[in-house]
Amino acid sequence: MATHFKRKGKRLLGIDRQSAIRFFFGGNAMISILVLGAICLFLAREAVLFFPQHQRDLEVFRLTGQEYANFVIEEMDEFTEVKSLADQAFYQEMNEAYGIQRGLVDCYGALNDRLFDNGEDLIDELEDARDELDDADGEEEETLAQADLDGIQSEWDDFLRAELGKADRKTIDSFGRLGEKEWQELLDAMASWDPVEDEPPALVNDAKAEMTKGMAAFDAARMQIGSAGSELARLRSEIIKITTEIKTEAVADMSSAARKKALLEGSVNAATEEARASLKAQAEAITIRENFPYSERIKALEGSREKHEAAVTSLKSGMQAGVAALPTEFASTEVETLVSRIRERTPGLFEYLDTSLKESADWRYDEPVSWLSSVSSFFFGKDWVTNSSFHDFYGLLPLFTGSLLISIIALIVAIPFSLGAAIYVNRLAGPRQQNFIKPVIELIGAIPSVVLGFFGIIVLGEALRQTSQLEWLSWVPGFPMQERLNILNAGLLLALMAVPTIFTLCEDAINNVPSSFTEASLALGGSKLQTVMRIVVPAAISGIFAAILLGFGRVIGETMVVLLVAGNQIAIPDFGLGVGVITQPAHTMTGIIAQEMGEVTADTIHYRALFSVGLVLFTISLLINISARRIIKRFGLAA
Amino acid sequence: MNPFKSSSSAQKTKDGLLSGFFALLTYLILGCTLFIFFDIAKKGLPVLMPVFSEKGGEVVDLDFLTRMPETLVDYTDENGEKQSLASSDFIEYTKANPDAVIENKKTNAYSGGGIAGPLVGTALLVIVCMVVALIVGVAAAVYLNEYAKQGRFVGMIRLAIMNLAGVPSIVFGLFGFAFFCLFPLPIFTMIVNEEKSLAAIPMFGGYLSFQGWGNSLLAGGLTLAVMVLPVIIAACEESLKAIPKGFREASLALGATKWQCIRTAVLPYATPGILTASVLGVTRVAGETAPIMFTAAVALKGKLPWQEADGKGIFWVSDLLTDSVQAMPYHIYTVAARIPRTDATAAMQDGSVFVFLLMVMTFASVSIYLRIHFRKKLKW
Amino acid sequence: MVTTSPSDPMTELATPVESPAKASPSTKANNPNPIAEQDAMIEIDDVSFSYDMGKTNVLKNISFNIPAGKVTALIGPSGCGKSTLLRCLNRMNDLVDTSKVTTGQIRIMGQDINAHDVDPIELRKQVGMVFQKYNPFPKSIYENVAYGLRIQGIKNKARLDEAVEKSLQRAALWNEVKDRLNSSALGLSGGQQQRLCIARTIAVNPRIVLMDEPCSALDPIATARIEELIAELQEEFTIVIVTHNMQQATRVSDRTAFFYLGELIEYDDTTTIFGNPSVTQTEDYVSGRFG
Repeated sequence: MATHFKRKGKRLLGIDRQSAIRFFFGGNAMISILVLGAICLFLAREAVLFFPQHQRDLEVFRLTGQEYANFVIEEMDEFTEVKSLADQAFYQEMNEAYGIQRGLVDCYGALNDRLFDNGEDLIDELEDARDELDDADGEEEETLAQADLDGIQSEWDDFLRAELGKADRKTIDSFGRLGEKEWQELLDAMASWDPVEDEPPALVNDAKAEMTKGMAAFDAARMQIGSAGSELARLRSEIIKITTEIKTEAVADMSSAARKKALLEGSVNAATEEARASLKAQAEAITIRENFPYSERIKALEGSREKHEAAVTSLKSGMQAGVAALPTEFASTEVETLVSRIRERTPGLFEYLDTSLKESADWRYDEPVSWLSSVSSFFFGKDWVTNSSFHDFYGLLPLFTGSLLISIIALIVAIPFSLGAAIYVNRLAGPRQQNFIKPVIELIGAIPSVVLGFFGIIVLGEALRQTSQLEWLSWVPGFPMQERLNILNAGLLLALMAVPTIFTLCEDAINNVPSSFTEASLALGGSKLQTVMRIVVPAAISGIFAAILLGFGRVIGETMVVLLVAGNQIAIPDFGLGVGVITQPAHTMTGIIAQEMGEVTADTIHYRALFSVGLVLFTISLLINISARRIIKRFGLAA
Repeated sequence: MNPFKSSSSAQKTKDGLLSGFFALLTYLILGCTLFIFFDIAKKGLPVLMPVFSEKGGEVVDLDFLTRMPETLVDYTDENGEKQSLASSDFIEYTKANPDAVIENKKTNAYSGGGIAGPLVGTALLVIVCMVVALIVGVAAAVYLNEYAKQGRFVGMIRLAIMNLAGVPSIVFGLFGFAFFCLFPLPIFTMIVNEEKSLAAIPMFGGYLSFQGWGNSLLAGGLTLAVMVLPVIIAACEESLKAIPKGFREASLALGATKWQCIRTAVLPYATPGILTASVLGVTRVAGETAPIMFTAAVALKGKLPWQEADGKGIFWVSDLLTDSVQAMPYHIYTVAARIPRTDATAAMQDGSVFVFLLMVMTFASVSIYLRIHFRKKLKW
Repeated sequence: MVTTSPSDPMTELATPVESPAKASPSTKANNPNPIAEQDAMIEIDDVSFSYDMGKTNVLKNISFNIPAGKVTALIGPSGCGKSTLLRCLNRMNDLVDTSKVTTGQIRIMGQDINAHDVDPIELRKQVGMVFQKYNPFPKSIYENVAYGLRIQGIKNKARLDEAVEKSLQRAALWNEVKDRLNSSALGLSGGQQQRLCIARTIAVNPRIVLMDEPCSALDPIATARIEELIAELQEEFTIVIVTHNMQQATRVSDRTAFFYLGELIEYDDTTTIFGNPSVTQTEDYVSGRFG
């Protein structure tokens, strides 16, 4: 009886058709698990291999003495930072206290260049004519030469008048240092300028003298500060030279076996007898050593410690004197702030030098490098330097800071806009506005990031810089900005990219607030806005939070905008500027992968370092995603 | 006397200001977006359609759409006027006019000619990606919606899809590079790359060589497919869910097998949804740069991809698939990031960005329209 | 017996006594106790209401007066329009964009509440509402009660404390929650949550409290407590209650209005409606023959 309802159909390998179809669908569904697993696997594999390789790399860094050199390099860098503050203060003071004088000198220079460029032939003729007059014998010849000279002279006078008349104040005086009066005075003084003698007018000479005199004390102090580091700088280049030599030899030694093999193989296949012999000779010249004699070679650094100590001492005393000699009164508060920053930073610098000196004194080339320092110098390393002639550093910190800063700016801008728009669309706007606004915001999500990046370079960067140069905005920290491509620019564009994500999810969350809450509030006499602000938004807050998290995930993983617009400067931005830090350029985790991945060889340490950065990004995005989904699930929001 | 007269005018003002503020925020977003569109159109439209430029010209500059990108030469002619020509045109011009005055000659890479290569490359990438993503995505959605019962396995699949959706595109690029480009995956080829190939099995007059796909159309397309998979699955599932249970029950009750039921009572009604999903998918992948940067794209190519494939039959296909391509987003990245913007090079930059944005926005608008349209129409 | 014409005496029975022409039928048996204008808190005068811009009316020419300081019950089968009428009284129906009062006037304390110079917000401050499903805000107990005062701009902590305590006491909830005022309102039992909603409503001191089937989501014990509460609150507020439960109407209300298919069938003292209804439909309904 039961046979009536038995399954029909052919079986293949014990699987009937229906199960086969089922397996097909199920298999395709499983692809997402496989892909996620494969991503984990491929990223983790490179990251796992990276750390031992990095450890060996650090070991060589230490054995070759480069680590010691690095102490000196960093000391020098710290010093240079303070020193450049002094230079900056000097030039700013000069501009402000002697702006007109500097303007006169500069404008004279510019006019001079211009006259020589445009009147080159005429000046030559004039010179020739004068020589001729000097050489002239006899009255007749003299008269002739004089007439000639007069002609050329008047031609020159016309030319000079025309040129001076044509001279555009804005182009010549590009910094706007001169007033109308000074400009006219300069032009008047130039009217009798002689190109052959090429002497600046008295006006300019006086200005120059006045400026030099006035700035003499400041200049001396500045020079003193600058020269304080000269001994350390000499030591720096000396040690770099020694240690780089050791490294070059050591690296050559490490690859000697491989090179020898390659040369021998080459010699067998070489076309001519001659080439064969030469290759063979080259191969035989390579000796393979079991161990590179680091202890032998590191002796070259002997005596460096004493020199180092002496250099630091001389730097400190020189700098102390220089800082003390800095003037105390300035033309503007800006210079004053700069100088007070020098004064503030000097003790810190000294302290840094002392610790660094002490650490370097304890440094030993043969101390083993632990795997922990391999890990920590990746995650907390302050430098990411590749293809360097000295040593490559793989420190995540500057990239991570850049990514984080840009994302934070983006969120700070995007959150109020998205949330405000979500409230407006869901609670305040009529259906006609809704049907228009929602698709447009959705459309923003489809704008390719490379197009936004392009817009950032061409339009937004320039607009931001020009805005930042407005006089009445100069109180804003970080204004006027030095770079067109910076954290702020990238952050603003990413904010636009985050808006659709945050908006859509916020709108969902607000929409899901039960109408009973709204009704209760309205029945109590709450206005629409009171209800929204006191009931709806608080009730939707977990959904809004999840939206912000996912928005964060969206911006921190964004590549093209930051690659094009963030300025790609690998350094931890200077937080000393306060909020102004956002006007600095930065590099990001996504940006570095995009920029360097195309140029690396597979399986090198650089390649693996980039994959490790990718793993960090992947982990961050997973954490964000999982926690956002958890919030959504916990609070029963549909999204 | 009216006991319910509006009293607290302070509150009214506050409410008015606040809603005005929210409206302002909303319209600022729209304003910024429209400004970006407008600015790009203003600069790019005259390049594509010279009739709108100051000088005037043809309605559509077909050369811009049909030529390959090449180096641009700009120079000053005998009248002191600035001229720029694509390098091949420049060579012809100098041949024809050996006495022409050429001063201040400068060359700008990638900035001359047209954008045919990138357009074709992007189209090919999108096709390869969507073919794969649609097959896998629709099948996965059918499985999740029609076959699967709530359980651990399905939970894991859903979790994976969800997490995949949040992975940054550059990470997909890394994965694609490591797996599709470098991992020794098999490929049909006439010439085996001895250095890379793990094994080569002779077949059909060529070899099935395990040598990895390298920087190729196939690697880029599959990387994009992997990336867009969660979007496709979600969109397809939504359209499957919208089909009433009654359709399936009616079909099953008539004695249809599960597969017959899916084929006749489910999939036909899901076609609009799948269509929407695929347009949405195209929008997503066409605009992506990061995943194809080191898996498929190159900055310069002399010929269109199929002109370079020289094999026959299956080898022609495999040549095409394993060849690198140009792509619009990568082309824009190259000209925007590496070529200094001058009067001569601006045209290529603006024109490419405009055409690309127009392309992606068209697809995006269609996908949004289709979704709204089908949601409204298809209520069973 | 169902009547639709506005001129039919049936519907005119409930019209206010102001009009001498309409006053005469009020002596009829089915409305022996009309509410005098001066006693009426709410006057409903020939009100028709539509949810679709006037295409179809869900309330048809309703007229009756609701007395001050009493409990008035609105009863009738589902879909008869009783809840709609209730929501007209504090203009909660404004939330539906296409809703419209097509004819007539509702006057509360003599003021036409749909007049253009009436602010629905001010109206709702005086005409509070308790909903079918208890809906405390996802905030603390204290904040729930204080909410109405806060949105009126009261920030003084002492005043808020006092008002919260008083309202909770009046809602007979104080002793149960006084030790956990700052814990979430959502942690209370259903009956407590509904009493909290009542406390929240009366905290702003409205003149009228509208209750839309306040006990339908509660168990019998919680229902009994709410009913006791209604009896106590009656002294201070005019209460209009919509109920499905006829026993409840008899227990809590002074007057009862019976609705059917959008029309007012009968309006009288509760005892009369349940003991001696003058219309057969009312009798059929109250005796459980339909509905």
